[in-house]
Amino acid sequence: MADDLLAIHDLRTYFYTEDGLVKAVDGVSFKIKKGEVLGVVGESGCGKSITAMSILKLIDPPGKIISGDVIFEGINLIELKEDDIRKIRGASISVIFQEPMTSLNPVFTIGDQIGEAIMLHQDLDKVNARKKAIEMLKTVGIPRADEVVDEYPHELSGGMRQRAMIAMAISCNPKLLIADEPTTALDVTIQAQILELMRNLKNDLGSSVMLITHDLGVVAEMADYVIVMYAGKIVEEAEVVELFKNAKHPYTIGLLQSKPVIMRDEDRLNSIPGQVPNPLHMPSGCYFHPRCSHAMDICRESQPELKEVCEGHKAACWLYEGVI
Amino acid sequence: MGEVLLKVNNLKKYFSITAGVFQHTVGYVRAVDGVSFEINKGETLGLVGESGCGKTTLGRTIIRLQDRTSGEVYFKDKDVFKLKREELRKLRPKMQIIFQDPYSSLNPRMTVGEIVGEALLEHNMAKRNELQDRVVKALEMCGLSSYHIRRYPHEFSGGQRQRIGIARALILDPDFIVADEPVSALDVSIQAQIVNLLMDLQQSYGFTYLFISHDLSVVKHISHRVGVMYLGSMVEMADKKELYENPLHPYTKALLSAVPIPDPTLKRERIILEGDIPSPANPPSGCKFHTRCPFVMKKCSEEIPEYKDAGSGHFVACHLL
Ligand SMILES: Nc1ncnc2c1ncn2[C@@H]1O[C@H](COP(=O)(O)OP(=O)(O)OP(=O)(O)O)[C@@H](O)[C@H]1O
Ligand SMILES: Nc1ncnc2c1ncn2[C@@H]1O[C@H](COP(=O)(O)OP(=O)(O)O)[C@@H](O)[C@H]1O
Ligand code: SF4
Ligand code: SF4
Ligand SMILES: [Mg+2]
Ligand SMILES: [Mg+2]
Repeated sequence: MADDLLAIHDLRTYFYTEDGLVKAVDGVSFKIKKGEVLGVVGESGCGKSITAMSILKLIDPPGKIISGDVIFEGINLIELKEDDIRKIRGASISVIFQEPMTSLNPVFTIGDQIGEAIMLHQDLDKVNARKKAIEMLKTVGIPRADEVVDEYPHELSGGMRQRAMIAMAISCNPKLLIADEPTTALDVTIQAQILELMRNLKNDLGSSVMLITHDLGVVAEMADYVIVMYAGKIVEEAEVVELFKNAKHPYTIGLLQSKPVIMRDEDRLNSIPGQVPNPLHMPSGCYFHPRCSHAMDICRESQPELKEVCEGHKAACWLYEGVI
Repeated sequence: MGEVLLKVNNLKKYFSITAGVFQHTVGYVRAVDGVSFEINKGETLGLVGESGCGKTTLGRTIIRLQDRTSGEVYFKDKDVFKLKREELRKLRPKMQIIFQDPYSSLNPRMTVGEIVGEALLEHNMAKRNELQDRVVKALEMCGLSSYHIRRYPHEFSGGQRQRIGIARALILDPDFIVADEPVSALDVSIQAQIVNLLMDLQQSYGFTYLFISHDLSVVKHISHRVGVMYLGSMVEMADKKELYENPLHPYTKALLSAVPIPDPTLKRERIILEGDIPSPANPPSGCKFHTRCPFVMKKCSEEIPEYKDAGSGHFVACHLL
């Protein structure tokens, strides 16, 4: 479709570990429209980050993208050579990683790092790249931007580092921003600042955002469309209002009910029993069946496919087999 | 009003900042800077605030895991810092702590049975022959089983390790438990399991909790009363319902408005605070919040606002009131 910026089809990324095969991402397909915020939710280990890293071919051995297409503006990124994909990374697609310290280089100043990204992808000399870096730091609300530009990552607080990361990520006006848990390590007041910043990016530049988080509150606030992952697969997807109002998959329902809500009074939280499966020993059938209170015989035997359960709303669950 | 179990009076805990080869003290981090409050028996007092504001330090100091700089802590009317050795030894098991990180807080070389039973032996609270039974009972209370006794921490998931940490605390039959971010490192579905467990245990055994978290939704769910800290000071404390429905301090209002709500149809006014938290080594003058407060007045940078009761036990420190 013309308004799709990114289309991923049947992506599989496996890790060949000493202990066995880990199917981190196992047949994932989704699209991101222009100017859309896609929320990706799921508990830790369900494959969110590996999906994001696969898009940019940032998977190192023993990991391997074993199949799938990642079509970005008509080009299949999976087929690109390292040199060509590097031109896309940090320019048309940029990433904010979960832990800002790991993606900022400790031995270079903030200004050098942002400036380098700018010089690499835009036709600016050193002096102008530095000017642009200061401008970007101001855009993300960093106080004393003209001083901070010469400071090193360790001299900044967690919130400022995360904002510097964002400054770097948006300095080349990316068409797609992949944000992997951009606020998880931050306090709520700083989180609110960062989310506001991402909202502006979308509104002012029309960028698309892939927002990975385990916080359903953040998703409700930011996303247009949501996919829910469990054990390497998408188990449910829908537009944000539909998903929160009309969740179908028992896992999504469980997630929504286990989170206390500040504006509600609940006597007892509905927890999901058990824990996510060991990736080396996946259950048979539906991966969620050992934790699901609706599990039936068929759930233990055979894996449900992700299918439309009502208009524009998909779920992978035997409960909805044959409803459409 | 119930019976007061713990009373904290103008408690201060400063850490010295040292520099140079001779480690001269060049300043102090005022981690806890004159805090007063009470906790009633059987109550859960929630404690919220941004990272570095002193929550952990406060929790550790009131159970005397570290010394204070000044102030008093009364546990059942006894000044915890004036106790003699023998008295303190007797009191220790009554005040327990559950840690944030279920990964690093358990000794990887000990079996679960040894970890949970260790403190009982240390405090001479069980004979060797009854140890096993006591450990099994504690594990079962936390949703684990005798099958787990001979296993090592690395064989457990985060949620299970947190259950082991809880079993280790409650086997000593404590009165008071400091739960320091006990669910922060866990996934949402597991958080709910642990929160439910803590609430069930309180119902059955009447535990009193100080529940520390930066997650305002979880704190609201589990607490009876809630205190809000900023840069080492308590800025507001009230009954849960009152605090969440009628926050008085500008910082509390900003915190509450910043919590994302899992309801995409809801549109709220949001107070976006400017800037970062100042350093507790060099806090702003007057009201410590004045550098970020949307309502700041001239007086705020000059005078420290008094922490006082604004009516029916709703304490707040702000010049607006
Ligand atoms: N380098 C690696 N070697 C082996 N397995 C890996 C590696 N990286 C990730 N995995 C496995 O891939 C699966 C998905 O990992 P991923 O990091 O994408 O999860 P996530 O949902 O983003 O988790 P979190 O929220 O904890 O970051 C997990 O089972 C993980 O253990
Ligand atoms: N042992 C220590 N030495 C020096 N500073 C410390 C020590 N422990 C805590 N602090 C400082 O005290 C302040 C409060 O810390 P802490 O109680 O851990 O906050 P929180 O638990 O709210 O994150 C922080 O600025 C922290 O760096
Ligand atoms: S397929 Fe079966 S086990 Fe899986 S979520 Fe649906 S009902 Fe539960
Ligand atoms: S005392 Fe002044 S600066 Fe402090 S919270 Fe109240 S209005 Fe704001
Ligand atoms: Mg991740
Ligand atoms: Mg802490």
